[in-house]
Amino acid sequence: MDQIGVSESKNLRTQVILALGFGGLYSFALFCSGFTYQNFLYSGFVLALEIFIGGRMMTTVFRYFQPKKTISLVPLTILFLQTAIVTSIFYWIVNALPEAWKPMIFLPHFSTHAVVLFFVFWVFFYEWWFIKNDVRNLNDTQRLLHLQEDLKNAEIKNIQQNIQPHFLFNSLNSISSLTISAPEEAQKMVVMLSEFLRHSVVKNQKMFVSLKEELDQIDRYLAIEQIRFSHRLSFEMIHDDANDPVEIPCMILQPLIENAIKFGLYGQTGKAEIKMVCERKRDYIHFHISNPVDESYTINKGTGFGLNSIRKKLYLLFAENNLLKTYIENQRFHTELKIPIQNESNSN
Amino acid sequence: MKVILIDDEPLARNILKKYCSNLSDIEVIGECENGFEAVKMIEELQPDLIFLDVQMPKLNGFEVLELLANPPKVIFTTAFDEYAVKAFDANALDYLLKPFLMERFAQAYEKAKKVQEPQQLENVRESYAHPDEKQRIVIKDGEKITIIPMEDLIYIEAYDDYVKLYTSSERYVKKQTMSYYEKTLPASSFVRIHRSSIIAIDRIQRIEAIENGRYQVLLTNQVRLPISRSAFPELKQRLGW
Repeated sequence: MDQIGVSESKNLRTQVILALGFGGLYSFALFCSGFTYQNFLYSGFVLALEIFIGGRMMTTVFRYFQPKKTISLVPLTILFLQTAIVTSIFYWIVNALPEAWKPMIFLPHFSTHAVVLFFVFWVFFYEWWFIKNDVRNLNDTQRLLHLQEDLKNAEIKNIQQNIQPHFLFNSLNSISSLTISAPEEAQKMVVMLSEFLRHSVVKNQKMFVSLKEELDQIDRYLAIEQIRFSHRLSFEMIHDDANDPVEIPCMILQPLIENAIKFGLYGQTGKAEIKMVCERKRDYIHFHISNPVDESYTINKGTGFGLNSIRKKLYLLFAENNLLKTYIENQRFHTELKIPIQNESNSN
Repeated sequence: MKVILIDDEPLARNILKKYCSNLSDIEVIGECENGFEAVKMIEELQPDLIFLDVQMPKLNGFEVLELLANPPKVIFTTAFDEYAVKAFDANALDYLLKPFLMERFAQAYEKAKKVQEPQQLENVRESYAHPDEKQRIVIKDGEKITIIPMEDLIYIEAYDDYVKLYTSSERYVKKQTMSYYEKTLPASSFVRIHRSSIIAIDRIQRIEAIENGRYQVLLTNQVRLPISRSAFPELKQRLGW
């Protein structure tokens, strides 16, 4: 809304300047051609008025009808009609003036006047069109800039975030323990951890991944946690394979799962049942993650930051504000995430 | 030496147990997987030494120690907690970074055995300034452990060797010093207004003038507390006057 307002006032200002400019130029031309003082001044003023009124008309028309291209039949027709109307009215008014006033205004031939006016309106149209698209581009550019900066920062933090050091070193400690008690299990866990790390590193270079890739990575993550907390952790995932190719942004879903683990597993002492439902509803993929939460001990301040940075990222990517929702219900923390489906990757 | 192993991961306790079994003079008398269990078990079994993980559900390692009247010797273990490590280093305390080898374990154990006087654990707790943690205060009343979220705290009052902590519904007593809270409570939300009181800034309802240019504060729970002359400028500044 703001942006339309900005372009509107900018538009008006440019039109006034252009109208006065053309009017002045016209006056100057008449002056050079030896016209009298009154003649060229009035003529210039009338032309400026004419151009200004035409410009306003045009802006009004294009507010309701927004052409995608500058040169196509429809905008050209509109400009042509407009020129005809404005020129006709102008001539009609000048002709209707009292005889005494007529010599003050120099009237070129109707067609010359119309051609000049048509040209002027076209300039207007271009100017309007550029401002409009400029504002839109600017927003996209700003959003992209923010996103790039964010990604750059995230890239540095990514390894830390994606592979939380706490998670990494505890996993290594579990492996160390398993080498004594169950060497084969230890070997399995080393492989699992390596796979997880490998994918984390690769993922850092991308902005979007397929849902399948993301879910596989979450599986690896949870499998490792399962070894560390076999007696307490259980995970249930409902998901339709048909959605596998859908692309979702990196580092959105996994932090939410890590959050669920942080509060559902690290944060309380009972059984940690973590659930995730993932389904497609029209143009969105919906995720519903829930984990037990210790209401009396959880202070949500800590989570606030993580969730906010995800919200920010979602906004930067999709320019939508309501994609992430969290609430506590029946001693469980619920996270609802919607991802707009952009394009589905062709390869599976 | 009687030891208790405290860690929320079974595998982490397993390796500690294994290492302990390699040394002849250690007897593992108990294991626990969260802070609540730990406090209870330590008081019951009175071990000489505990291996204490820093990150645990419900109560972290430092909070466990805070609740013990006579804490035993401690060897801290942590996977990754830069804040804890900083606190240990600052107080020249030994700690084990997971994963660790038998040699390192034995070394820490030998060191702990030699320690005679009680370790300076008070200071470790003070210097543990984890941005995510310490947003709450733990209180132990007999068997019951209560966790007060920081935002529920209205004010703290000195009470001999103890402090009284007030929330809108309860009053708690805890053995602690005012200067400890002055140092550890987030400075952005608490201010000391008197030798004997610290208040939450956003719980101030108004400031009232009393005689001789002295002031008192009225808190949202309708309690009035005097403001000392020396603390008044600080309070004014914090309120943005």
